[in-house]
Amino acid sequence: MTSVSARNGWADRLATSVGRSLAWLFAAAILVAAYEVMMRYLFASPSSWANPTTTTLCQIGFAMGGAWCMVKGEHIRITYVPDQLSPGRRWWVELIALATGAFYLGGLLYAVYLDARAAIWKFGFDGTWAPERTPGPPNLPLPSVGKAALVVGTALFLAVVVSHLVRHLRGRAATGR
Amino acid sequence: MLLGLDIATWSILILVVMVGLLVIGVPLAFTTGAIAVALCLALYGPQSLFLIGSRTFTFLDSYTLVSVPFFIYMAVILEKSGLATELYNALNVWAGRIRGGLAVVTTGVGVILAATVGVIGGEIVVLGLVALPQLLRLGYDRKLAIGTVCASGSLGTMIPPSIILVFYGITTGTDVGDLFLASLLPGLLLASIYVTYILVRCTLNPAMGPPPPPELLAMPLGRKIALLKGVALPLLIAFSVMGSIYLGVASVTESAAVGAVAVTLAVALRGGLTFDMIRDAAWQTMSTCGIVMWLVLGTNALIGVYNLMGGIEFAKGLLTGLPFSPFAVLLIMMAVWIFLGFFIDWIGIMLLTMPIFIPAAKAFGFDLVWFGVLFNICMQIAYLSPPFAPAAFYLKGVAPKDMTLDEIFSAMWPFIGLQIIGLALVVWFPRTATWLPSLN
Repeated sequence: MTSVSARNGWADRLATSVGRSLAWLFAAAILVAAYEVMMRYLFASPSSWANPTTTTLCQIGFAMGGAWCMVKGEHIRITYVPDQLSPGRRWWVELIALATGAFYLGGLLYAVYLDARAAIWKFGFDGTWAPERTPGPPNLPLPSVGKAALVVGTALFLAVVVSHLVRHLRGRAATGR
Repeated sequence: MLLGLDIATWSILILVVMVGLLVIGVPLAFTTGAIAVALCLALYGPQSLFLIGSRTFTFLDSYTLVSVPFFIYMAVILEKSGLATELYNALNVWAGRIRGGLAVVTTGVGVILAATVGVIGGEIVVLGLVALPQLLRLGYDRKLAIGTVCASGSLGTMIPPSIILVFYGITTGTDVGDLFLASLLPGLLLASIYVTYILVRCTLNPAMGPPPPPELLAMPLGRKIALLKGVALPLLIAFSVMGSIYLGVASVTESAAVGAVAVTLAVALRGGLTFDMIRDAAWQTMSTCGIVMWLVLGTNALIGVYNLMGGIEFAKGLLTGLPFSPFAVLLIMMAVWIFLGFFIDWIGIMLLTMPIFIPAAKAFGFDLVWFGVLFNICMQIAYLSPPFAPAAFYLKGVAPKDMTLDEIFSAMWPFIGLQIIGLALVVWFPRTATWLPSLN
């Protein structure tokens, strides 16, 4: 997204620092997976925690990547038609693009929130908190972590898109068109 | 049902809105996702969004999917490491006096690099920086040089590993290891077709492929052999990734992890590893995953809702009910892939067509592994076909200033022709794809 990616809002800065720091989770995931391969095939002592942990580390990365790519204007779009338009008309199609994004991400945020709530807001018979865990060993609450990350990542993405939308509308007001 | 409209009308509506939004520049990830959310709200009420939420997480909760960031990380490190340059320098001394020899070597380097990476982009950039200047300096026909670099550099996803095949496997429930095995021979077939073409053109017109410079020809054999150590590391990496898959020992993700660590260690042993390199690779991995995964999430949501509406069943009926033979329908499907390749990315093509094509392909009894390889070859064509030709844009970024995008585009056509020949061969002789997996 070329014209909507002026990087100055707080949402953009937050998404950038989250993206940059959590990118290291992928490096961590590689180390965990390679460690597991070593233990499994060289020392014949496979673990139960390594694979689901690797998956969850990557899920967090996947979830947070969307917002950062939005800040950097990297989401795939066909720009041929917008490039041919007059600035006035281009303003309108940008508005549609951002509004479509905000609508989708708003809906998705509610959708992943429903899913995460069902996973996290769970209690045992005795009233103790019992968030969703991996179905087999290691019985860590990794699915709950992944679902929560998806909520946070979607919310961050939505914040970036809404801040771009606000800036887009203000830009129009400022130029007085 | 469905607010009084039948599924055919809805399908057309969805298509029209989707194309309309895409054309005015709405990102693909937003387009499909927004339509999915709108359909959910309009047809089934807000609580039905739960469907989208759970589908989203289910898609991301896959150990196979984890191989994608690993392959991306590997490719970035390889690209930045200089290993590819060494590989090229090791092989180009063997070009000899054969007309077009250096272009043939370029294809060979493309094949070896393709066996170490599962993405495209980096490989074209590397060949564009290393091989293209030398081909041009020697006076190779410019179009032949450009086409060779782009077509050979695109083999990254054709010769395993390949993230296209990882996504195809996850989307269609096909074994990714089998897909990797199946794609190997067709990938080598494409490379041999390129080599044949280069040799034929340069034999007919020797001016198109001049011999290497005298200092390379005069190099003593001992030095040439010593240079071959530049081939060792890439081959070792290729084997560390693919060996375990070919032997049927490790899963794709495990192999990718081993490959990622192997590449990092190899670069460290050469003394070229820096903190910046690893950081850039991590960032690039995050970026690429951010783009690809969010694209998938939107489309995945749309497919879920469309299926609930009965759309997938409808589309399958439409395809299987066509008054043509299954073979003719297959040709139509491939034509759709190639046509879409002129405008959108492989991942978009896969996500938009597979949910509709796969049920029909199953109904026709097509081998889904073979079908995936055919898709993979069509995506090779998509890389080269303008105006949305990723290979051309990767090359443009590193090409000499006087090389225009138009010149690059025009160099693609003969190679697109060669790819279509390769595609036809794999269509006619499915064993080229299905033989290796059948041994496993």
